[in-house]
Amino acid sequence: MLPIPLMHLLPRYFLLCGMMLLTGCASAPPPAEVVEAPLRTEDIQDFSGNWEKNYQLSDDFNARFSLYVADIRRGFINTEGRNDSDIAATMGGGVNVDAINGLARFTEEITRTPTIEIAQEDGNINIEREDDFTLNCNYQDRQYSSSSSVFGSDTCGWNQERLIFQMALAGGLSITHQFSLSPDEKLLNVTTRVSSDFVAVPIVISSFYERFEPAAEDYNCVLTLTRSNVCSQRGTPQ
Amino acid sequence: MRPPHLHIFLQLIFHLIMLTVIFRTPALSAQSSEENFLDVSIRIFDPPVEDPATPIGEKISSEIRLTEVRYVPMFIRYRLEDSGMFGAVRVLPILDGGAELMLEGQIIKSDGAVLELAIQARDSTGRIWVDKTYSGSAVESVALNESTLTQDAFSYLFAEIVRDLSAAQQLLGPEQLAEIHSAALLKFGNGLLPQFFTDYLNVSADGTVNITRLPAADDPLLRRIEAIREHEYLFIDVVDQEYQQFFTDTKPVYDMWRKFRREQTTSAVNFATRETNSQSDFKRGSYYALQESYNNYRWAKLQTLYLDELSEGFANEVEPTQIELQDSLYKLTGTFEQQYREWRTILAELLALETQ
Repeated sequence: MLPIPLMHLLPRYFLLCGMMLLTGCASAPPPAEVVEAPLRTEDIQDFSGNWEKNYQLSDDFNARFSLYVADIRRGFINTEGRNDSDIAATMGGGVNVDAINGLARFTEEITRTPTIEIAQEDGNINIEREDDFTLNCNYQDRQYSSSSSVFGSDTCGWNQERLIFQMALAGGLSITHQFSLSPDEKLLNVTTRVSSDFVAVPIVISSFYERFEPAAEDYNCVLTLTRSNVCSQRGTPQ
Repeated sequence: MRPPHLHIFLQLIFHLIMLTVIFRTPALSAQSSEENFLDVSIRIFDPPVEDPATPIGEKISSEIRLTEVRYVPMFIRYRLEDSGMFGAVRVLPILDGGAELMLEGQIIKSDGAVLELAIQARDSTGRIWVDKTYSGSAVESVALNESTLTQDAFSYLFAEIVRDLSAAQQLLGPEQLAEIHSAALLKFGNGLLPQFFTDYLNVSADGTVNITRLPAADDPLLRRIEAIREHEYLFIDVVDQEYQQFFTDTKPVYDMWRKFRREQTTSAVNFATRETNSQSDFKRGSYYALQESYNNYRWAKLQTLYLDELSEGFANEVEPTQIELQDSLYKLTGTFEQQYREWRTILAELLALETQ
């Protein structure tokens, strides 16, 4: 288990690394640009396996949000020299509060993920997240790979031993997930940073996952086109 | 399932053929009714060249490509047979040096919705019948009185190819057809025993073949070569049957993959157009606006995953048939191309011995 002080520092550390590595918040999907990514030169971590959330180690969202709001207040006072009544007036003014609450609610939803199943092989990683879509990164021998659609663009790849997914979506929404392993490889850290063009400070949530062995399934199922899923009992020939 | 003794059986046929070729004095086959028809050899098509810029999710898997490079020539083969305008139509894994009409093709584009084919047909004299790109969109139709094996969303495209070939054939007179027959036989003989046949042919740089002179009609060597070719075609027909079986087994899966992919593409385009053209009802920066943006992006990602699943489902279902075909070809030929050439070499050696 990670020592507690280090655990508290991790989110800020990851945030810094992420900000250094990745481009700033995108307000809109950048135009698709076909530039070949540089070759990957460092060894990569193996994240394969089944992971379940450790709620004790992970950020408590409400506590995190309180700190976040406090940070905003502090920043507001420091930069503008205003007092609490100014802040209350501004935050009560509507737009900012709505945007902050909206960003917080949205962030809480996309960081719930109770379990993760990761398959990693041959330059490709598949991160199946419970209650959300699968993150896939086909990096091959490159440091990162990019793709885009009318709804947003994304880049995924490696920064040393960390795997990073960055998404710049329509409406100025930007999400970054960073995956890293603890030195003993027993814990998976997922740090998610969510920002919006309408809120000055991004929200960063750190979650920790522990390995677990899923219960063995009784059936082997194979997906087919004409017969849908074809299942057979384990141990019997198909 | 094929009988487990197929390999032994085929070997037996092969040896019988060889013995017949060696010891039998062949008679010229009846030509009168066949002279108006040309045999067609179709080589397995080349797959499309993948654009490296194609996003991963839109790339088409090798299993699908491997299937369609066999499927498309087989479908053309059936259409050519149905036209009644041609003789035997065979699908081969390699070029047939003694073909009367050789058809080659490349799939330029095939994504279920659009099919684009580059087709070249050249007869044994080097005359190009067709050198053209055929392209069209899928047209879904169901004919209740036709077998599903003869139906295809691109039937009209294949019909166009057959029409062009038939039209090219109709331009030829009996003399030209006879010349094609002769050139094919002489080229086949030239492939086996060049030292005996070189004098009969003059091949120019552009592939045009001129027959400089003809051997006597009752030339025993020519008759032997003709018999060998017939026997070789029997051998090729066994391979062809394997392709027919492959076609029958994989067609329903391939059809379904193309249909699903077509539907997915159409629905994706419609959704994207609708979403990008419509103004969001939600206040910018609000929770609902963020959720809408994320859901749209998630939807696009799920579409990619769906395409992956389609490919996976296709591969899972077709893989056993692919393996079975490869296995059969391997058993039949021991890497067909190599064995085919070896067979020709053996025949050439036999003939060389006989003519010493």
